[in-house]
Amino acid sequence: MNNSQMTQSEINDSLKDLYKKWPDIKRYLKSKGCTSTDAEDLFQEALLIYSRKLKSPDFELTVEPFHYVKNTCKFLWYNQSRKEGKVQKTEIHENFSETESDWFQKELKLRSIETAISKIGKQCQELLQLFYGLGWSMVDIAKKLGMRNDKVAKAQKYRCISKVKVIIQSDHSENTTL
Amino acid sequence: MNSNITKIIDQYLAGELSPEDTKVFEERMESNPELKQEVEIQRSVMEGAERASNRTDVQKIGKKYHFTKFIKWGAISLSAALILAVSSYYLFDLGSDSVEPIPQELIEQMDESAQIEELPTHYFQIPEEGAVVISEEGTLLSVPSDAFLLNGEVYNGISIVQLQEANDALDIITSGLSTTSGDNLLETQGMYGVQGFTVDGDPLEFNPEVGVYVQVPVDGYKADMQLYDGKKLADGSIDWQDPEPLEKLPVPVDMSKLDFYPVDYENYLDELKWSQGKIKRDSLYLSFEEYTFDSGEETMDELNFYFTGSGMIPERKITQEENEYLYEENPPIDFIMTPEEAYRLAMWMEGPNWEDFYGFWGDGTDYYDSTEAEDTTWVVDAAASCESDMAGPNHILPSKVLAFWNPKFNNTNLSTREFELRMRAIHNTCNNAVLEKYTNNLDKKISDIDREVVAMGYTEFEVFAEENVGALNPNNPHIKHLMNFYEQGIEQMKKVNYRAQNAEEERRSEMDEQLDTERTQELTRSIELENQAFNEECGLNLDNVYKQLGYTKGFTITGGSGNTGAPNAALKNIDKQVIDATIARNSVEIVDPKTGKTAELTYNEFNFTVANHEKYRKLFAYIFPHELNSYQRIDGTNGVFDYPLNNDILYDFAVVGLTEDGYEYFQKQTLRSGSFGTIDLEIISDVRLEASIQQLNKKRNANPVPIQSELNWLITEREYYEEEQQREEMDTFRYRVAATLFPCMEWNSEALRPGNDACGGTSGLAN
Repeated sequence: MNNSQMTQSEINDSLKDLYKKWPDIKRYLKSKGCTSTDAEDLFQEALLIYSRKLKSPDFELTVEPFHYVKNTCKFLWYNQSRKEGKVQKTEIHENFSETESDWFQKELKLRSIETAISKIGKQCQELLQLFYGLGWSMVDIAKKLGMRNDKVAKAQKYRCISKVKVIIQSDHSENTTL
Repeated sequence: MNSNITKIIDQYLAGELSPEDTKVFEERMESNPELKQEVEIQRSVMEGAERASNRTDVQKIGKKYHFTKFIKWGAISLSAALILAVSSYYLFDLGSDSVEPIPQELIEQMDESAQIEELPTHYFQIPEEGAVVISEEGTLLSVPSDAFLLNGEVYNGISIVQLQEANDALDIITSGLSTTSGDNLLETQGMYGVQGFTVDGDPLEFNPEVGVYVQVPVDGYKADMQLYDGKKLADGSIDWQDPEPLEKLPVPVDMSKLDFYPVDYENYLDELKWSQGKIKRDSLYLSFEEYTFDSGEETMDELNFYFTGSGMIPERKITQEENEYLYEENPPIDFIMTPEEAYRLAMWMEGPNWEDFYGFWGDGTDYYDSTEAEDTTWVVDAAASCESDMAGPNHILPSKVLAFWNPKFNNTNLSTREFELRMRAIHNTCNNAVLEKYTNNLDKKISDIDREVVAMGYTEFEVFAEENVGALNPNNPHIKHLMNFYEQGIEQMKKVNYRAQNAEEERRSEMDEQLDTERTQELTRSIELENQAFNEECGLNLDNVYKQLGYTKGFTITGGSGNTGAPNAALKNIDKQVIDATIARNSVEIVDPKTGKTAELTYNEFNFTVANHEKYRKLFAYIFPHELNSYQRIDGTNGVFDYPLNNDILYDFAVVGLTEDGYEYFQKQTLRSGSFGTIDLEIISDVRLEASIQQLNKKRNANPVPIQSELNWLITEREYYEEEQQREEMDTFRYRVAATLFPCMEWNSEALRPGNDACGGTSGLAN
């Protein structure tokens, strides 16, 4: 709780610094058998998790940011390899406490929601990101997206959410019937 | 998925529900696990959206990192000031064979004064009249005749141009070039050194009035790419100064080599192997100036509905969402949609959410009922106000394109590949105002216009704006004149189109009228003919029966009642039997009750079947009785004709079938009866058909009824049949072509499929 929350621009600065370490991370992940493209995806995912963690009120960083990100990459890589059946369950969680693991599970789940969101129209995606991600007002969003007024944008927002829910539920039912 | 539930959940999650409602909602959730799950999913959607936004940030940071790291993009740096605007110049190849190689000592001498020591030099010899040359790396140099100065005077001799180029990061790094401007690090796209020399190796200066135009190969344009001057510092390194925005000059191309049609138009015509002639294609294109769906088929009506975004009142209640849009906080009690409300909603749908609404309306009949809607006057009103609401047609008018697409506009902004590309995008905007920006501003830089178009809201033109394309011949005194000419050209085109369309419409309506007249005449004629034939045959039969019964006097029959000169009941009875038999075409034996004598009327079997009857659009048999004045036309059923013949009459008969390609015919002469089984018709020309029938009609003993008007009718029907098919084909064709021309209209994809008849089934002619 003693961590005063960082502003978005501070977070971005921190991310920029971390990005400079990309060659190290790349080397590390490659040594684990990860391809370059996969590695950068994992790295960005880890940075994303890190940046979201920074925003959560009860987060206290106990290690260097770089090590946190590196560990996250490692976790993500093991997780992916396990899914692809490349490695057996090993001591993946060595560096993560139980609560951390929950946190990651949740992030991974949200990632699948992101995938569902990416399947809806571009305008819908932008609208949802502007509203929930950047906290824009409906008036501004309507202006930006060329809608008549905020009522229209709002109605559109509900439709966009509904679309995502349909995708999630159909994905879900597909998975359960398989 | 119900938007209303989504909305309530959203309000709940955002804490916007009142405390009472929140309580009720939470109780519901407790008792309803499905609702609870849906709330969870929705919460995760919100978080997922937030996360997606975070991801965008991370990706941006990653991109930035790579940009600076690899110097992928950047400013173009040039070692000497090159003047950009070249008012006109000629392109031609400088064949390396035709030029004397530059002596080695001279090269070494010129190398001495190379701008960038680390880079290799390339030399081009430029003739007095100037030339355009391209380096192996793809850098284009355009050196006009007056590009250089020697001792302050324009240099007119052969020049040698030295080029040094570092096109990519590797070249730049290996040659140890700096990318600094003062204390700032530049991102660079490439660095170029250009110098001019006389054939003796004396350095030339750039002529500030003309200059050399350099075009460098880039993978893409970055908006803020600029041109820097390189200044050699004391330590030999280069500092880049005085940035200027880059400009690319459009390259003039002859109008005849450019293509300003919508992209799919020519592809479609080529697919059909339609005429390649530009005149033909232009006039086809022009004929779509005022294109509307007007073929009156059902599919077209549906399309009109989607096209105008209105046209019908949904027979349903207003949804909560719509209610909110219409009335905000104070909705009326009555939720049934009124025309006014439907109209406003239709307008709403034409807004940015149109796509969503399209699906919204398109998915069921419970939203609207077309039959109900047609009863209201609103349909018309809405269509009218829709039209007046629209700023103009929602496609680029062919006249506006064709008016500039001619040699008169050569050497203007419009006769360039650059504009050709833009024209494709302009078609997709469907907004004539966008086109006008370009056509009305021939003296402006193309990319300045691009920026104006972006400002109109067409963000897809940003790519063009970033290319920073200049103007071609902006100072040409003819430009003003051309702009006037363009306006006149459009009017001219409109007139041409109007005349063509008018002529076609007149032709069609003339054709329709002729057919109408022929058909009316045919109807009266058939009735008269039938009456006459019956009366004649009846008279003949009565004559015959009376003869057999021993009455010798002739009779006339009027109106089927006996007026026989033998005014008694028995004869009337005989009359009736004869009339009945004639109507039924049955053989009978008639007994005279007075004398007990008998008389016979005999009808013989006569029938045939026409092979492949289904191929005939119309199929008739004509019967020519030798003893009567009238001929008879009999209709078969499914190609089967059965018409007993009177044994006292000698007949000829002919069968006429109308097909897609013309007539088919069969004839047989001098018979009283016969079962002919299946007969095959043979193709016959219209002239021969007419002659044959005329002959059959005339050769009879009696005083034949003229058959010419019947033949005229047949000919008209046939012509119209062809016409109708052509119209149908034309409508289908035009519909498909229009779909290639007007991207903003909603098209019925079924109807567009090749081989699918867009205009519905065959609509037969009314008989």
